[in-house]
Amino acid sequence: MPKTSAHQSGVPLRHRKAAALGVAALGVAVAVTLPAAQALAAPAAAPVSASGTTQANVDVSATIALTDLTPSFTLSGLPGDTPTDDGAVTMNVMTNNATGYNVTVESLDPNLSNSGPNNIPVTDLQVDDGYSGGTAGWLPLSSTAPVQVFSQATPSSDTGDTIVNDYRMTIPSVPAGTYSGTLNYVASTNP
Amino acid sequence: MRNVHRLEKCHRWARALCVRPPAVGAAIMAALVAGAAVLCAVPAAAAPAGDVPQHPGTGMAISPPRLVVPAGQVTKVQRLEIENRGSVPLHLHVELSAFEEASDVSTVLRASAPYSAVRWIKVVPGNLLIMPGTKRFVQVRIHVPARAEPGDHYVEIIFMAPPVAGRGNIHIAEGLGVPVLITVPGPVIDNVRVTRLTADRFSAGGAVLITATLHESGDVHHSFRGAGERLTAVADGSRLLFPPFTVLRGTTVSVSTRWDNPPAVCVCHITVSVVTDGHRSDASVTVVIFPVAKAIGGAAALTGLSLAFLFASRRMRSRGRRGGQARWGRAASLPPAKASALLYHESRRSRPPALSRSATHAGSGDEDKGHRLARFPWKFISRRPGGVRGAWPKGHRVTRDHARKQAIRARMAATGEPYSVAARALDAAAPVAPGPVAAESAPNPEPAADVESAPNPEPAADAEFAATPESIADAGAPADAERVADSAGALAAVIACASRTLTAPSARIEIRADTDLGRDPVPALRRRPGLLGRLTRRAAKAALGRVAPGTDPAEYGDLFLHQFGAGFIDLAGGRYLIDYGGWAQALVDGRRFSGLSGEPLGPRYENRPGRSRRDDPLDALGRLRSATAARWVGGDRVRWTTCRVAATTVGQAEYTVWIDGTRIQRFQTVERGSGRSARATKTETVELWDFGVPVDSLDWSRLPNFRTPR
Repeated sequence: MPKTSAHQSGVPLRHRKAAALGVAALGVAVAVTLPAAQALAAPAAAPVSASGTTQANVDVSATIALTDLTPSFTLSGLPGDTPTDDGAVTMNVMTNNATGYNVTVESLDPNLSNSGPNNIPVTDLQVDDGYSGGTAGWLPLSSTAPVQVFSQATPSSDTGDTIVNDYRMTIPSVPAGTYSGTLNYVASTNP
Repeated sequence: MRNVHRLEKCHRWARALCVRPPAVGAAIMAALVAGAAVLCAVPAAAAPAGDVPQHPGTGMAISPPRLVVPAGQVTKVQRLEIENRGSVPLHLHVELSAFEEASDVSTVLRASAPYSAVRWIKVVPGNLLIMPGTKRFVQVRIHVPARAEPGDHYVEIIFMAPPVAGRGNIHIAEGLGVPVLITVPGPVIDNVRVTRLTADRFSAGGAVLITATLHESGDVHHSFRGAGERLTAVADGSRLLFPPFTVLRGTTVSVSTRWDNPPAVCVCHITVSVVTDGHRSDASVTVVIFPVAKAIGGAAALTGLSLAFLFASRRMRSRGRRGGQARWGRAASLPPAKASALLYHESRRSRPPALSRSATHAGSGDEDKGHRLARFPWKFISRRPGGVRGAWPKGHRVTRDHARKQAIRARMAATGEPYSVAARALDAAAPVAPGPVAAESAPNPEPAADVESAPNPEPAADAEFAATPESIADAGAPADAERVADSAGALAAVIACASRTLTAPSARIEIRADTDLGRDPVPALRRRPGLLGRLTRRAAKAALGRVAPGTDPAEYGDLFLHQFGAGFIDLAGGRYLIDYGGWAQALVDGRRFSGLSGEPLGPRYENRPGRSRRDDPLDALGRLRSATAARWVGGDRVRWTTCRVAATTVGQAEYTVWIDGTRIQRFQTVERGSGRSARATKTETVELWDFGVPVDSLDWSRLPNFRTPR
């Protein structure tokens, strides 16, 4: 009786599949149980009163994290009004960088725009970083040069530094509507 | 996410194996591969679930937060790890910007900053999605142009996330920036210099802020970050570390540190030095630290205490003058019962020292207080005639109204009258008698003190030192006619006796100086001093207790007012030794010395030469030889010698001189105060006896200590 290959031996295909699955399962079982068996066997072979020391090393990498950034805010008022939103934007910056960090804000676009053709220059929007210990005074935003709203030459606290910015705007005489814009907050370590 | 993808891939592999009819070896191989895959996949899949902290909203972290690529590693691919610490997926895109360093060491993004490496950087991938709680790595590939300038070039990689939808109309996008410092290989120099050091030139205390300004004029950055690389200021021996910082190429920065614990007072020189590539630069500043507020406070406190002391002393003086009158005035204005109570109270308060317990003890001898006196080395130690222990000498002025009493006793000695009779006679004569004796003989509101001191078993001895020209004259001395007639003889006798006395070989000598301040003997009605007064008094007592522990401050006034010295005088040799008990004076070889008893004579104790002292007995005897007028005022006994008493004028001074016909046995002078102390008098009496006593055996090389307890 000539030998045949496996797929020619007449063994049903489902039996061959089952056998293959069984071998695979066996392999998985061996792979899973082998470390456990080694772990169980090791203490049995070890001396009863063996002792030793080990050195624990913790490798801490430098990092900077920006979290809890306010997603958006609104300034509402009539033309000529100067609505102010104290604490409009808050964030938490945590870094262990030895030379500290800084936070800047820059407008993505030069204008706050509505759905129509009317715009409000983003320079009308002013930020005050004095609340959190930065430079006091209202600074106009720009779309070409970032405005630094916070800087320090030392690492943050363990839980991070909470930075608070106030915003205000003297609303110009523009048609009523919702004028929107995007402000980019960038936290960066000092070199 | 990457691990999830890997699992999915493995599952596809297993399925492919199953679809194809494998050989047995292939099946075994597949099983081993599957098992290995499980082993690899299990720990990798656990990472995103546990090691990335999560916050609501958006949040991300980058590590490392800065990249420094040295010259030898510009071709090496750098790697950044980005974590999504928020609760929403992060769609990040990469932006590149040039930057420069501000003076406060922060980065400033600028499109046209010098030494930009924006075109050299490529971040792969440029856009990426990071699921919440997971992390991803990006590669930073650096391509330095072939002809790039050697030295530092800078670029900032910014990972921006778009704003999350919110209710507001101004949206916030967040980003994290990573500065990259690339050093292009080539000949570069690091030339950082400290250009300035500033601090407050004057500090009144507290921390001192020190600011250093540095400039990097080389081609590379200089980092003051690592251990041993920090910028250090040396201030008054202290090393002060500045915070870590980096000076970029072509940048000037200022950094500050605080000197938290400077010395309280100093002129401090603060120095900062920087050494790079063999170049050294220094800067220094001088700070004067002086606690002005504390000094002013201390001065104000001292001034306040001084003013309080002056005020208190003036008030006491004023009350002393007005006390008696005010007391009687107050009593007169009160109902009889209250007036009696007030006067009784005042009489209790003003009880004379002679009747008080301490005064009684002091008068009975100093055996029980000798140690206290022995510890007190000053001149105004207790002084008694002869320096012997025991009772105070008769006639010593320890009671109030002593001048009147002495006058009474002198009259008793001269006339033999009882005390009360002599007192009445003296009081009757007082209104017309001028001078201090009449003033002191005013009616005494406290007769009890007089009564107590009236019985006196030795009237002659009492009068011994109390005799005054007036009292002797009243005591029945030679008549006026005789005095006037014999004034010339008196003057001649005084001059002759003075000359003979000065040529006598030697004698014992006693000197007594009694000072009468001339104040109202009855203390004024004194209120309880205020807080400041009490504090001042307590401080004075404490200071006195340190100087002379165990002594009673009340005694010092009496000791100071009544001084007594005894010793030996070599009249022919022009020298003497007189000990006042703790303090002594001497005249040896024409040089006068005064100081602590027993101390060797030396420059330390030598008085200024040529200065004639009023209390110098030799000077006084010499002046008596130049007397200009004299008159007999009576007779008296000095110790065992009968003497005639002459009132003698020497220039502006008046002397009372006791002479025995040969020598001067005693002479007395009264010095009167002036101005506000016009009523004060100082009576100095010098007595000589035992002429010819041997003095050569005395120790003339030291100040004497005959009377000083040893």
